[in-house]
Amino acid sequence: MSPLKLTGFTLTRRRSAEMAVILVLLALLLVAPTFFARISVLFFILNWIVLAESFNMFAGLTGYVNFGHVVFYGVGGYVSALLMVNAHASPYVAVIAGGLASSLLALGISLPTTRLRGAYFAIATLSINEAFFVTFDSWDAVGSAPGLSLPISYYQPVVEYYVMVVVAIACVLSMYAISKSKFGIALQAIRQQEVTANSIGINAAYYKSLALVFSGFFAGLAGALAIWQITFIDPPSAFNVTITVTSISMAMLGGLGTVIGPVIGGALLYELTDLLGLSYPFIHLIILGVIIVGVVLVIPDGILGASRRVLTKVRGRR
Amino acid sequence: MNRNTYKSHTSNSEMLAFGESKARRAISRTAGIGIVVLLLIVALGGAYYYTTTLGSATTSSSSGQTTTTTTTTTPYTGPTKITIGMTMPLSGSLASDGVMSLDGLKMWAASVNASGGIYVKSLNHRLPVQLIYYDDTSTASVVATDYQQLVAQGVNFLVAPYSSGLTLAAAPIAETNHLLLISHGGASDSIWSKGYKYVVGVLSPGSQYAIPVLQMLENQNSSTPLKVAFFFGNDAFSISVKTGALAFINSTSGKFSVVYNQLYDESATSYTAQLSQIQAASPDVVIGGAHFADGETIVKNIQSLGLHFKMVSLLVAPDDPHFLSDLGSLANNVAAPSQWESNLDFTHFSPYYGNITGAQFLSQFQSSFNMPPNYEAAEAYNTGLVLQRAISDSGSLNSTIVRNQLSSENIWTFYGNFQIGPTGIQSGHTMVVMQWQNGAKQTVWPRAVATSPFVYPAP
Amino acid sequence: MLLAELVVLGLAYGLLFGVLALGLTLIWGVMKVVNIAHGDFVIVGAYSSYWLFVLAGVHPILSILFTAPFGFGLGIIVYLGLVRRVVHAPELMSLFLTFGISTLISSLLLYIYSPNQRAISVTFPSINGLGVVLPGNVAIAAAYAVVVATLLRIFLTKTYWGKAIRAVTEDSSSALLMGINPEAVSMLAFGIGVAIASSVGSVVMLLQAVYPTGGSEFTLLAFVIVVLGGLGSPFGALLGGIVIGVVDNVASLYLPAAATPAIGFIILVIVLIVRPSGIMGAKGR
Repeated sequence: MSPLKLTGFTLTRRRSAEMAVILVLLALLLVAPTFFARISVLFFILNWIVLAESFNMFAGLTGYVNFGHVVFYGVGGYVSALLMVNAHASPYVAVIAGGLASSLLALGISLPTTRLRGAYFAIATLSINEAFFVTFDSWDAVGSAPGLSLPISYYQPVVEYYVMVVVAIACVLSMYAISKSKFGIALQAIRQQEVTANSIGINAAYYKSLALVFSGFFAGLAGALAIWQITFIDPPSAFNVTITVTSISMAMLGGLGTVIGPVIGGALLYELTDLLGLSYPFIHLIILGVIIVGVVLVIPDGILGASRRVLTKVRGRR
Repeated sequence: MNRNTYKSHTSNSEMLAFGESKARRAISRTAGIGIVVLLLIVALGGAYYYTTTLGSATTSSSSGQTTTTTTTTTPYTGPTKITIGMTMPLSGSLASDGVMSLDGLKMWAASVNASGGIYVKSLNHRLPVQLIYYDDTSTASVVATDYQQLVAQGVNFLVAPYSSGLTLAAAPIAETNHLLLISHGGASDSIWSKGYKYVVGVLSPGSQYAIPVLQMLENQNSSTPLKVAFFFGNDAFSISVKTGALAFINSTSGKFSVVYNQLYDESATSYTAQLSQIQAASPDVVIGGAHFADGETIVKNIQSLGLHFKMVSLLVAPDDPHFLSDLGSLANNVAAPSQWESNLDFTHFSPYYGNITGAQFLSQFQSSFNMPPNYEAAEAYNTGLVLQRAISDSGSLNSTIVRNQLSSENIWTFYGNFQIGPTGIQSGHTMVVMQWQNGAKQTVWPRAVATSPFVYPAP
Repeated sequence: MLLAELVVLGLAYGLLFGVLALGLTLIWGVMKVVNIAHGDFVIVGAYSSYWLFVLAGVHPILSILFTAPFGFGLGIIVYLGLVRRVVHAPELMSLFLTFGISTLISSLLLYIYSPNQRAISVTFPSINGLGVVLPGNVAIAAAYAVVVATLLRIFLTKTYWGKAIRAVTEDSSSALLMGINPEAVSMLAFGIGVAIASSVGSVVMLLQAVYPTGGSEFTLLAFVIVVLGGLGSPFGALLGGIVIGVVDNVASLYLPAAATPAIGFIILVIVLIVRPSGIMGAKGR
């Protein structure tokens, strides 16, 4: 199966306009550090995009909600932090090791859990996350409750930002490639009708495991990058269920199952939270709650779905 | 469904768009990209707006390095206020501590500004102070972005967020930008073992917390080695307290024996199981605790199980005035190590700085915020005082100069002594022990400042 | 003897946890809505009891007479205003919505009542028997749980609306064919679920301090119990609660105290591997 199926790619006028927009965006991302002082904001926008997209990579394609998504983020962060603190490893090696460790973990988690359906899968993964949280919280070899703190020499915000850009692009491209591939087709079949898919020879458990491994890899990279940026990790920040719920919200907001939806949802929800937090330190969470409830009531199909609806209406009238 | 059906779906780039025409898909893709662009513009624009508008308040000399060249003959063009930036956990798990700390700093800023501000010699001007604060939601990643925001706004000095973990997330940003970061609520010793130059603490580090309690027990002249149960919460701060306590016990050779030593989960709904085990180890005293809710639960559980110890000393919870209102008579005889008590009087020490005594702090805070302050508010207020002193003495708004000035300060305030070691760790301030006695908070150790004798063993 | 004591204690706490989970499983069973705000309704109930106690001197146990109907009303309002819109949407939608409701409730409580933790001191004498000591407050909590579970059982088996709830839980399309109004049943189930959560809040006030954002811990606990017992099964929820309660307390004898909370989650994962639909769950769901 070819990962990147670009057959039928023709440069129509619309296509070239899209390409131009994407190139401008990429160029903006590349030069941003030269004129933008809060480089960490851009860093975390991309970090959240990777978290939301990697959640989407499993949940959006298979229909299963991984409520323990953050366990990949946390383990990725811990593995890279341990490598940097104890072995003084290069941060690049540490980040990649974090991603690989998480994909290995994803494989391990998928073995017992891919048999579970719907909400049982969601709560089982949530429980695994909580078990990791408590274990790391009382395990001295990984710093237990006080956590780990990187030596200051690792702190290079601009380098971290560019690595983040690369990882974010790789993550979105992978999602695009997967959704276009035969692998993606199989996952959709599982999403639509798992029993039928199994009966026509799609090994659902195998495909689900593989999807979870990809999802875990990118979430692990995101976690490893986040600890590189924050320089501090402890169990409550690494295995925080709120991170899972926020990733889900971002994917939902943009449009679950789409390639570009989590990108939009991640950027929008993060920047919204950030600006609200800066402007209204005492009531920003109330505003956020109202916005979330409002989104469900007004645009239940996410931004992408809603804009599609509106645009079709507008074009239809012309 | 057959294979072909699946295949036809896959040509969709958006998977929710099953069965839609190609044109629709193109529309949605364009819409998506359009939204991304719009979003980035809004995000960059919004952030730019923040960095410029808020930043302009601090005017040209944001880092303060050019301020020394200002002369008095030309019209004054220097900064018009001293900006102090911080995040505080105003929501999330540390919110109660964060709000209390922020209130303490607000009260300090109000009193400085009421007296016309701080005289900065290098500028030959009195400048008011302005606090710029954000809610970090008790989350380390928010600390990281918001301190960069504060740096971008050009604040003169930074105050750390409450708690050791959040302080550790803020420290590299302060350090790489050469901005002073004063910690008022991060007691873990590890903050000062990283080699940061710009991080300064005003409170006694965690390792010192339990020592006055042990010294006090040592003084009770009990014959056999005193049997101690350690029952601390599982967090950075409580663990550093326990480590310090164990080191002290080892240094006293045989005066104490540790019969129980476990960390507990702070979110547990009950500690009856562990307390029963502690009872089985028959200790004389129980020393432990972590934060507020767990401390109250422990005291309630001890009562409901009908246990009795010669002394129970917990971290943080008993020091909070709510401890009495929540627990009533159960509060009696419970002790706690304390950074500060309002009835302590340091005015006879010199140099005494800040026009305020502990009693005045208590009453002023009470009237400003309609609730009694706890030690977090006092720590934060003291942070302001210490910064004020160093700015006055050095006559500069340059963080490096003020940081060096702090190294040579040895002052007394309503909070006690301030003096720092070479790493920036607090070395002058000492802890006291408080105990609830008949519904009133009493300082029982050291004897020199005690307001009442230590009730031991508890009746 | 310590072991016996811990088992009794675990049973008592387990009953309370089980009743907390009952509310969640009822809502899930009828409308397949994952209510993330469940724990926040507990906190709402706890704060109501706190203020009733502080301002009017109402005993927390007595205040259940207020918090339960109040929760019922609140649940119906939330259902009609918000949750109704997502009953037929994918599960994730209701999850997203209730996450928003949870954020809204906890942040409003935070804003109005400050982040300070609240506790009240009402103690009941401990119960001594057969060498086992059970704290009075925990015994009261267990008694409350038994009463609620019994009332709910009578309601579900003896009344029309109770039977309707069970019918919709088991097979909503057949229930519809039999003339049961699913809308009304959903509204009722949501109201009862929130009423239970909010009255559990009153009891929690007897046991521990609460703070505005503490709801998520109760939600998590209820989730684990519900899935352990089997989604949609009231008896399973009670059983799951007891298992978690007993295991949590007994484990502290053998494990380092800080690591005990992990044991409940590990048990859940093991149970699900052996029985993918929980202890009492229907097969193949």
